[in-house]
Amino acid sequence: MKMRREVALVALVALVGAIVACVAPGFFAPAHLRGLLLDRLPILVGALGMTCVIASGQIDVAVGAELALLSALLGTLAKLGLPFVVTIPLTLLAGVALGALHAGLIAVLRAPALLVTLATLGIVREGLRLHFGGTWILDLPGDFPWFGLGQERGGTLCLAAGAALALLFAGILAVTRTGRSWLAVGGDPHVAGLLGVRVHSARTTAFLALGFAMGCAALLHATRFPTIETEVGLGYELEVIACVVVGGANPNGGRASITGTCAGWLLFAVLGSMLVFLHVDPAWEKAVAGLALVLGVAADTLFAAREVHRA
Amino acid sequence: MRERVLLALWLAVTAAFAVAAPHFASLENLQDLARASCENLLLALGALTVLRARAIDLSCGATLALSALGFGAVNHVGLGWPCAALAAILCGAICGLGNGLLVVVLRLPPLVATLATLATWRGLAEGATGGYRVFSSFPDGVLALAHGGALGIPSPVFVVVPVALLLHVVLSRAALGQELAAIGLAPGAARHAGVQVGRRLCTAFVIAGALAGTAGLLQAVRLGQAKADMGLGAELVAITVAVLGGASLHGGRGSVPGTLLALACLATWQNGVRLVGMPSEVAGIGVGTALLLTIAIDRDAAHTAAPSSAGTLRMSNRQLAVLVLAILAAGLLVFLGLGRVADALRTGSLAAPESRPRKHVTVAMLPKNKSDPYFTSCRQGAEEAAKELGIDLLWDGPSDTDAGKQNELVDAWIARGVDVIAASVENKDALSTVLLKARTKGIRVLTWDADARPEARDFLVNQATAVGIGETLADEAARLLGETGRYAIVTASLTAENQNSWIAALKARMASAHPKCTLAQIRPSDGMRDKAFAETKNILGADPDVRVVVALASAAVPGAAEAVKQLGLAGKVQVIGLSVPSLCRAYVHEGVIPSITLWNTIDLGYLTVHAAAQLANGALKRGATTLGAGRLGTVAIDGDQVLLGKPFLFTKQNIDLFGF
Repeated sequence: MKMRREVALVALVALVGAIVACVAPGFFAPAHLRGLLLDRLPILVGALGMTCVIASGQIDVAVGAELALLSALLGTLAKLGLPFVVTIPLTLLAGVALGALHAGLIAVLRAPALLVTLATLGIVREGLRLHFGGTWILDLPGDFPWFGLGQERGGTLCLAAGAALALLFAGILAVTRTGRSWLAVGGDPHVAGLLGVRVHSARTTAFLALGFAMGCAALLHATRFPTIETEVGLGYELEVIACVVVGGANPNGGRASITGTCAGWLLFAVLGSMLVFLHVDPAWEKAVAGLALVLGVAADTLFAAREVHRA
Repeated sequence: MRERVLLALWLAVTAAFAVAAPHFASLENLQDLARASCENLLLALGALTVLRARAIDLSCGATLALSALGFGAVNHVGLGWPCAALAAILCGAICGLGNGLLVVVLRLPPLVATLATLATWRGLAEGATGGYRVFSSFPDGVLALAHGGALGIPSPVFVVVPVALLLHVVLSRAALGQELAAIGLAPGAARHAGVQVGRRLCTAFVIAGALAGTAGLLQAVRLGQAKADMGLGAELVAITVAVLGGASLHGGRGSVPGTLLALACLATWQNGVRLVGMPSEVAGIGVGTALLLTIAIDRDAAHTAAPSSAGTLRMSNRQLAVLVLAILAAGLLVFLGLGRVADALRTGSLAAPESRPRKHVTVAMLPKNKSDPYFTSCRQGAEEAAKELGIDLLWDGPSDTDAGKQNELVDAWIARGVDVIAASVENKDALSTVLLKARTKGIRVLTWDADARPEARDFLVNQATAVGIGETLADEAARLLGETGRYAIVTASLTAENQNSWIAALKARMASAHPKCTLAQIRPSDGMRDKAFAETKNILGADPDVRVVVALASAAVPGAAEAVKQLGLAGKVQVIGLSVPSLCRAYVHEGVIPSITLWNTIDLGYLTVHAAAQLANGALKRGATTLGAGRLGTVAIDGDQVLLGKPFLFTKQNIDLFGF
């Protein structure tokens, strides 16, 4: 019963896949699929963190700017000649610190997360522009791409890391006390508080989880290239949020699942690349993606309505 | 309460800039400010209306674009402009109705519903125009009306003020306004009290849509064109203004005067920052900080006083005193700080700012997108020349390709009174009108990189002609293909005019000289490396027989090359295109990129500033055939075009000789 939505999404992905298989079998070449998953990995990892934050009834629209900031930080550190043993923990730490900053601002200001992150989005993006002036970070050390493991092994490592993160977040959200507290606080903060859930700490940990995920996303994203683009992640927040809500999360909190997010991510990953294989005019692409989003979220309501009727 | 705070803030900002920026207080600048703010005001009022009912509308920027296209299309069909104007407003209202139905009938959370329609409306706008089609050539009467005014008040104000007044009455006096606030404050209670929640919510969305439609109409006539990429990101501005003005995401609050004052503060701040010559990033950071501060003030207000009635908040006298003091202090700081910074920028040093008279020539240079590596390298050359000639260079531009923002910058420079404006034009029709205005004010105008209409500028600094670029690329692609085979194009955005003219020239050359080379696909990269990377992978997966990828943006070439490399196709697939050597050097040495075509971008910036300086001192006049340009020696002039020279082919042999 609870998995209906995920099943429906996977069925939709399968349907889309079947169409492509008939029209453009090249889509299923292992190399292309592997490349596709690798390219979309930063979106998945961001969406994992976003699932936690949305589950707790918050939102973060600054993730694109965070991705750019953390990538730039990683690049700057790597350029100083620091090895990955140092830069990886520092990037993750910076991600968590950004999460803590957001959680702190929201708690201190008692403001909606949307507004606070809207403000930091502007500050971080413009700050990056002011500092880098649009220039890229070039001449990174030779062992920067793929963590110095080479494309084949590095790519496999990234995919494995993505899968491990998905499992980790799924576990946290489904079975740990912290994960359940996010859902409880997102569902009804007042009642959750009365039942002994610490509302502020639940919201804070959700943002910390997102911050950690963003650190990972920046690592997975930046190390695919030998240079760092400092304007990266424009529109990233919309892609990430779309994956989560199509995956069945209630944007007001209280309902979210990692399987759903993964299914939503898969749908958008396949859809985006498929349109090229079907030779759809690129001008119509956004309309198709928008319509898919409308259908995806509308289906959610229809499913939910039916479930309520049965219950 | 909020209104008074904002009024004080606005007065403080205005006073500070009036002193720090000499041209700020001119009637003309205030007119421009009012004219450019009208559209944002309408969007913010729409945001306010839905926020009152605890909803949100993220789709207003996309609605604006769709409505502007509606205006353009109906006008194009020849039904006359009143009909077209109605169509635009109607189009907005229909978009709003769509949002309302999704929220009310399907019970989608407004955030999700309008996120989905944001993509859908924008997608429809892009699809319907193919991304590149521009509706322009509006009747002269409409354009004159849009740029005119009466009693010194710009004409859009006459549209916006009655709308704002009407909305104010509706929100504060009429039943609808009270019901929306009730829905926002307590939807359940409102329902029990007999409010038709669904209908009222839908009405709020329709109002917001119609307002966005009107904004689209105003923007279309102000810019003289309608295009699918108008109003990108406008939703964030609208929501920011509404919230600064006192609206709450929790519904029930906010007023029209508050929104108006918040927009006044924001617009004045951005305009002032431009006028004192500080980069627009500073303005952006300031807005973000202001948003955080507002939220903080809200918290303090909410702490001590419960809402006394829907929409108003009380503050204790002590808090009020603290707030007023803070604002005064901030005003003083801005006043002192900006005055010094402005003087420093003017004279080049922080010492004795008032004693030095202003003698330098000021050249304002406008790139299409200042985050693009191509323009960053142009800037290097421009600064080099500015230093050499001892002139003041202002370098600012949008951080995305937005025609409206270019117009605002030029307006600010006109108000500031620069000597020369040198623009790389994103949208010809849109920018030409302001450039013409600059010329009538006695400012000399140059275009560089991309041209305006010929009557809107004195000279074009031409790096290479579209035909030259298209043919060079076509010949190079055909050579690499061995005259037979398939190639693909990764362009910047589908709306980019330069790229589209290159593609047209490339296709024409292929058809005439290399008929056996066929085009597989054209994909947009939006000038982003990552998107070019993903798109190239898709192209090579979908069309495995593609042998050459032509990338037409400086970030797209390394992106495409990285894709080829990671797919293990180096040697089989080759990437060529227009890019900057520094981004491509490694790939050129690896052989993934056999050659990149480009003029020397540093020289382009350098030459532009030299031409600007000579235009300002009268050395460069119509009819001249040569121009002495510092280290470039003598440069040829053909009619009204200063020619940089032929496009250059960077290859493995010569790329290391160029340090940019």
